[in-house]
Amino acid sequence: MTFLNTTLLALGAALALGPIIIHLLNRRRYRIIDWAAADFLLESFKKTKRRIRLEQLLLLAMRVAGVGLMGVALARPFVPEQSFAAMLGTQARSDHVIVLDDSYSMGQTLGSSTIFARARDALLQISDRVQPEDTFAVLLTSRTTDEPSAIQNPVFAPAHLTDRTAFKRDASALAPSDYSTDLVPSLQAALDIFANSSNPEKRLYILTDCRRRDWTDENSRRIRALLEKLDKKVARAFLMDFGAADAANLSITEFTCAEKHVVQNLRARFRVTVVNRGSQPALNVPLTFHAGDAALPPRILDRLGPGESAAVDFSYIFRRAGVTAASVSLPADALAPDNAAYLALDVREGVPVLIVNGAPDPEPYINETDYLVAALDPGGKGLGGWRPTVITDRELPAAQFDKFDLIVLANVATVAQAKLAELETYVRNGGSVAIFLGDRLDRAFYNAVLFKEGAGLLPGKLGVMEGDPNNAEKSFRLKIEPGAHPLQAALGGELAPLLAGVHVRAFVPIEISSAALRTPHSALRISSFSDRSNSPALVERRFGNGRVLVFASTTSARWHDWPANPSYPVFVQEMFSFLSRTPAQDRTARVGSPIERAVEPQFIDGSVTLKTPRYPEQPAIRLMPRPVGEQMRVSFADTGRAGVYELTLENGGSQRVDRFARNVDPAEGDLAKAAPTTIVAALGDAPVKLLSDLATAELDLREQSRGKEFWKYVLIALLAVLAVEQTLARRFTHLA
Amino acid sequence: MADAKPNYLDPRVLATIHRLDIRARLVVEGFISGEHRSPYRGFSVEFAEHREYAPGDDLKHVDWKVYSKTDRYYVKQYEEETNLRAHIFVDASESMRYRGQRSALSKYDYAATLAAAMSFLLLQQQDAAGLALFDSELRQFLPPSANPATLQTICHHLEQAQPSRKTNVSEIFHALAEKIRKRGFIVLISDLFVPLDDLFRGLEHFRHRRHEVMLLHVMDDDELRFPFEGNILFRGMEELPSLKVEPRSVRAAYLNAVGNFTAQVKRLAAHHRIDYRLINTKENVGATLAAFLAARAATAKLAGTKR
Repeated sequence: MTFLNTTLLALGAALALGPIIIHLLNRRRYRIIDWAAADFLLESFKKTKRRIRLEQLLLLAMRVAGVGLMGVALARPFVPEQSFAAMLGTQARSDHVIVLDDSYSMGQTLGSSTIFARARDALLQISDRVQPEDTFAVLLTSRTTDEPSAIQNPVFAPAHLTDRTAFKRDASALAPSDYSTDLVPSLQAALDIFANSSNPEKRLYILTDCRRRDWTDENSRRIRALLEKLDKKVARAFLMDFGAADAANLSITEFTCAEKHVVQNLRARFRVTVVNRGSQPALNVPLTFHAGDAALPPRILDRLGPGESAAVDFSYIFRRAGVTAASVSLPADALAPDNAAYLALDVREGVPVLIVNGAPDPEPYINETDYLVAALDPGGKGLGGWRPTVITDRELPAAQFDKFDLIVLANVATVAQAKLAELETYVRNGGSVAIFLGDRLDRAFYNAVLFKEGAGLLPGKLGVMEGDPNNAEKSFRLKIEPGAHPLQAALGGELAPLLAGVHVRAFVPIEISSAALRTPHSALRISSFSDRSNSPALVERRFGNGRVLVFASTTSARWHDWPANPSYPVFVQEMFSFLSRTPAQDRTARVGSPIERAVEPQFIDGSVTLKTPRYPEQPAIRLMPRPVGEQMRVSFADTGRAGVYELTLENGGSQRVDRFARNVDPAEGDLAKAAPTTIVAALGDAPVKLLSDLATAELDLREQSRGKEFWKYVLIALLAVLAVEQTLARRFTHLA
Repeated sequence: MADAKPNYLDPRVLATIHRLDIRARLVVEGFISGEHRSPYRGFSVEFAEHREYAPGDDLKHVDWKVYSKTDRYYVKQYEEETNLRAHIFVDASESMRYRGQRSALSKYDYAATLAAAMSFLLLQQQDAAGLALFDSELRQFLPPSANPATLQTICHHLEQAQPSRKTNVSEIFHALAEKIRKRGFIVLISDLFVPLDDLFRGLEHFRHRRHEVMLLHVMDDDELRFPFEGNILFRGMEELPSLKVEPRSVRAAYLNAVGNFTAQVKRLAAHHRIDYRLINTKENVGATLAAFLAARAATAKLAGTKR
């Protein structure tokens, strides 16, 4: 047992001697009476002598106890909770686990400080009150418990606080991350720490800012489910709300590139959405676009009311191919991380497509693919962005499909079996194939090998050619089927009148039979011919992760006059854009998404270094390639800081730079507070106490750190002793 | 009230009067005036002569037979008996000296006042009054006499006595019983701090001699209620040991002992046909006198009947 005021305790102890002294003094002070009835007195004294002495001792003890207890009560005794455990013969230890919310909303400024700094101060205060026998652990909500990880929780593993100076130094260096709040993993980790400890008492402190978005129904349910696992008999949890509301904060909630492929010297369009999270209008806000080292003149947002959002479009022409970064930024406000957004862009020289010409011809535009190639670059200035490679079907066996974002088979008779399997793999892995039919194709091969009763690439079985390629008088029109397919949208809008002028003299009927398709992806008819059977003209099907699109006629003007129609290059461009392989999107992601990259063979013996957004403050990190399957890869998990990560691969004189962008979750920038009643209701019966502010938290911490205070009980004991003393005194007097 | 007459029977008033004879007269006069009755009334007396009725005479005493014969009013006059011989024994031991903090008179003063008042009353009625003062020995003995001057002698002895010794009644009472041969009325005024066996053996001796015995047990209010507070050293009188005690702690036991004692005295007195009365020195003296007169009347009647 310990006392908060030992002076008063000493005073109480001294005063406790008072009744004894008074008793002794009283014995010395007496009146003298000459007494006649001394016989009766002697008789009564003899009878009561022992009882009187006992009563006097009892009363004296009561009085001593009363005064002593008063001193003890004033001295505010408390028994550190460990002592209880010690009394019980168990280990006199507690587990203190602090879950510190280091999401970026905790970085909200409050005057010259931040709410994170206040929470960190509370953490230090808690640590001050942790006993040497206790174990103490700190978990950050931004950290993960997954192994292996460089940012593994707990940031301070459960241990005795033997070196408090070192702990304070390290804890003082803690800063908000760029992550959003997710209490669940850290709470689970805290429960795991409790479960793995034999210490009898568990203390959980959750230092957070209690934003509304953190306490949605789903989040609340998950948090409560965890906290309800705390054993109410031995565990106490404190949810300390350090959040502050109503801050002027603008968030960039969207920063996207509208282009599927960013190609050098071609204009790339970007969209930025800014939301005003504050309660006051934001006026004349400059929004700046950066591309590499260049910056566009800022766009001024004249007025953005509370809760309003504004979309701003930028366009930029990248002059050099390579992986580069773009970013947008807002001026500083109460919360910095959501004022910027980043994109890592693979600026390409062009999009490589492979066109396999099954009917090559030395005569221009009789050659099967000339119109197609021309349509890919209508002005002849390379502004289409496509980089077509045209090969004949004889060259097909040597083709490397993976180097291309799209493969076009134009009137190809057959495909060698080995190459067909390669092609199927290519499509399954996300590549696409556009198949144009014609007079050269081997219908039996197509139906047997490419269709394979629905198991192959073809979406339907091919029939016998309809129409006469040489009879211009009999032709069929192209009809766009109603639907939401991007090609339907592209061809069915302004192009529809133009498309009406297309005359198709011959086509190969495609027998679409969904029942025949063994894959879950049925064929989609995009357009049809105006023949009696309303035969499909343009059919698309999914195959694995890729797509197969079949046009039931030629790509050249052999069977139709579409290449002469202005809608043809539009169709080709839209088709290529739609079908071309989507670039990998993992360059731009949320903070925390690991960076993974294959290391090209020429760099395996060289060096791979990574510069994080904190470079040069944080030196470049060398990454070691490791084998993953058949590849050598590098990975980096600690991407908790928003910004651009620059990966440099070097070997000898060659160098390659790759970039990755990591962005904050813009939703975390919503600083609206959750109502305490909401939190209390969300916590349900979980043994958690919500502390509304720092002062309350500190007070409660102090109370907690004192263990069990006993002054109230001592006071009750004092009153009981006084009551007993009074009762006994009266009783003894009456008996006497 | 400021003009209210003092109650002369109140010990506090009596205490202001130092001369015992005056105090005795005051007691008796106060008692009589308070009672509004003749002190002779109810006494067994002998008819003496007639005298002519005068205004103020009680009509009860008019002799109607004489009136029927003479047609004149005569009032009967009586001659009181003078054969009552009262011996008043007053305990003059040290214990009688005790005067409580709230008492005006010590037990001895109260007893002396009572004895003097009784003597005065008796002598007023032509009874013979005698006095015996004793402690461990018989200090004074005045045989009963109806001479009014006896009162002075009794008062003188009562005033001169210095209570300072132990009590011892066993031999004294036996000696007195042998000494007082003529049947009479024995009044013992004492605090009875004596062995009860000795006391009642002595009194029984008087009863054996056919004396009527009245036992007036004088106790101070303090002795009866033991109202003390704080630490007190009780210094025992009559050579009894001292005792330092917190009175509240022993009060109940003390009162129980006193109660047992008085109950025992009462029981023994009844057993020996002794008229017993416990007197608190705070009490009005008149009440004690009334009890005395009642006992005296009974004694006189008894004596008359037998004669």
